[in-house]
Amino acid sequence: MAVKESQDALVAERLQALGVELLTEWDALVFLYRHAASLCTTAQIAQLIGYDKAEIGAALHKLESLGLIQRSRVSQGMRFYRFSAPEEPSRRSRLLELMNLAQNRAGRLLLLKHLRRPGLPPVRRSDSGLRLA
Amino acid sequence: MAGDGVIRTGIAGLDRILMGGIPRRNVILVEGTTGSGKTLLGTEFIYRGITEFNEPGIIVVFEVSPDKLIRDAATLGWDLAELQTQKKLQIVFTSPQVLDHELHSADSLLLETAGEMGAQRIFIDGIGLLCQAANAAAATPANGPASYRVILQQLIEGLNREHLTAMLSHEIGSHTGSQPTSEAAESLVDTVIRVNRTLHSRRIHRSIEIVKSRGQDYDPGEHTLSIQSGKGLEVYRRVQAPLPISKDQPTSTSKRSAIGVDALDALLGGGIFDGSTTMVVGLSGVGKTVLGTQILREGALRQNKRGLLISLDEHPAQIVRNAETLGLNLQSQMDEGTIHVLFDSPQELNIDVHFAKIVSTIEENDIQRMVIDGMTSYSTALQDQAVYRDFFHALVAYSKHRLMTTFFSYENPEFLGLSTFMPDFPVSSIVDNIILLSLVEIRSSLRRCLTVVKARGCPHQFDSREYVIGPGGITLLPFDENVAKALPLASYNSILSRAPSRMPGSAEAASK
Repeated sequence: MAVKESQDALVAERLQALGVELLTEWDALVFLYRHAASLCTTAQIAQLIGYDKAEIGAALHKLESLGLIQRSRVSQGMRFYRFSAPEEPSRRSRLLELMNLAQNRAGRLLLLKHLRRPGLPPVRRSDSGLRLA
Repeated sequence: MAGDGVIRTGIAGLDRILMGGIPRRNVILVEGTTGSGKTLLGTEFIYRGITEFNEPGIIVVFEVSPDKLIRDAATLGWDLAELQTQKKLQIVFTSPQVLDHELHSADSLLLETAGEMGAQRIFIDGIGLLCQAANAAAATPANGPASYRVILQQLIEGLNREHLTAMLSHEIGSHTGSQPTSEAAESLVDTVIRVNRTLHSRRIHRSIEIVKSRGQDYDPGEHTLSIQSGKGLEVYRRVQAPLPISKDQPTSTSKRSAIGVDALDALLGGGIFDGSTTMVVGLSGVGKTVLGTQILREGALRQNKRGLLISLDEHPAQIVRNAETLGLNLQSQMDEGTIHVLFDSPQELNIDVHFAKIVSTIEENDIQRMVIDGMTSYSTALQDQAVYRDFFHALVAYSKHRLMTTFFSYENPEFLGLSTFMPDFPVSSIVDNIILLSLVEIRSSLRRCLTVVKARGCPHQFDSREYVIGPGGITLLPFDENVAKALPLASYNSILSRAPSRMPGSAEAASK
């Protein structure tokens, strides 16, 4: 029990340090982390990870402001979206820890507890049906 | 072909069949079935470009996740993530529709990125998927292939404008629509490389063929493609492809060297010409391997000629042991590096790979005398007689090209008397010398008999001579020796037939 609580606290602390609050932000970040550089539209990313275009648009904007991704200029409605590892070592290691955590189901469920959908309160453990990239 | 006008792929063996490389800025199409190695070939083209020729590159993927591409490349020892960090590589995940839009765009983000990083190579994986974009753009699905051709033309135009050498992969055979798109791509690009994966007797065989390549010469035909663990792709030139030999290339010398069996050298009129080829034919157990061992030891010990023994039948340790029972020490020469033994299992023998091993062993060790023991095992292992014959011709041609003295042993299945030297195919016109080792039945015992049937350019003797195998290997008995109280072979007629007959008066002459 104590171990679970400490893990909960660690995840919460790391997400807070990174500034990621929403599930859409996290899923968009994981997608770009895996793909390194994507040449596409916001709508295509939204379609690939199963969200509304407006939600993903807002998430990408937030991630850029946090310095976690880079967006190129717009060309024909498209951009280059690139994952950008935080320069600050402690922030970078926190991000990598969370990415590692997201590689298994238990870790993803733990993350889910601390992320919320836009306009909704944090997800309760009993909730189901939400997807995580 | 070489120089700035040529881009080298860096893939082991591929540049050789491309005569040095591909003309720079040729658009290269790699087509093949699922699992044939298209993505790997394209990825290695980019990887080798960066690491061996300092040419940054871009990989565009539609379906393969970049992190999986990086993971798979890591198993071959390629650190693509590090190359991305160094900004020498950019893996771009996009969709066919986006790429289509990009190619129309004057301010293309992809080409802008290529310019910023100084990219000289680009690999686009799965251009068949551009057909989706074409179908989306076409008024009716029937216009699909035509639109695809237009999109491809735009793609090639955009790549040429940016002075990129592009490799495009296209899957064939997996869906009904692949043929028209594949044909359109083949006609538009400059170079077509086809990779294939086939099943032969429950084993996988990968092959590669240069179908066309504008502005250059290349080795045509189907070559072997292999994925080397921890290394990458390797192309093995098909063994039957003729060597590029000039008219001035000498194929033999006027110098003669001893074989290593005194009486045999005398029968040959003083040894054989350096650079010649000799076939030793005989039944199992007559001493073909023993003679081969003597030939190699003579070369290494007395003539300063490095030797190579090739066997599909016996492991090197067994060859060494058997030779030692006759007092022929091979191990010392092997330790010194004056004799090398190449053993390959006849199971799943890939003849292109095997021939490449022979060539590399010869070239790395400056081999001058070679014994292939024996050709019959190749006949069994290869199944396809045409491939077997091509291999034999290639060995003879390569041996002549290097001016090596080469001995082939051939196990003839006929027990007493021979109707042909090699039942598989006529060989007498290909090799320079033929030595026959036979068993003959005299009274109630089998005796060994050696005959020089052919020795091109040598004043050889046609006498059949009895020999024994003992300490030191094969020894020919002198004519006048009465072995085991039997008459010498000279006392008989038709010794090589199935029924030798005694000459009249020979017994009386022998008893005097």
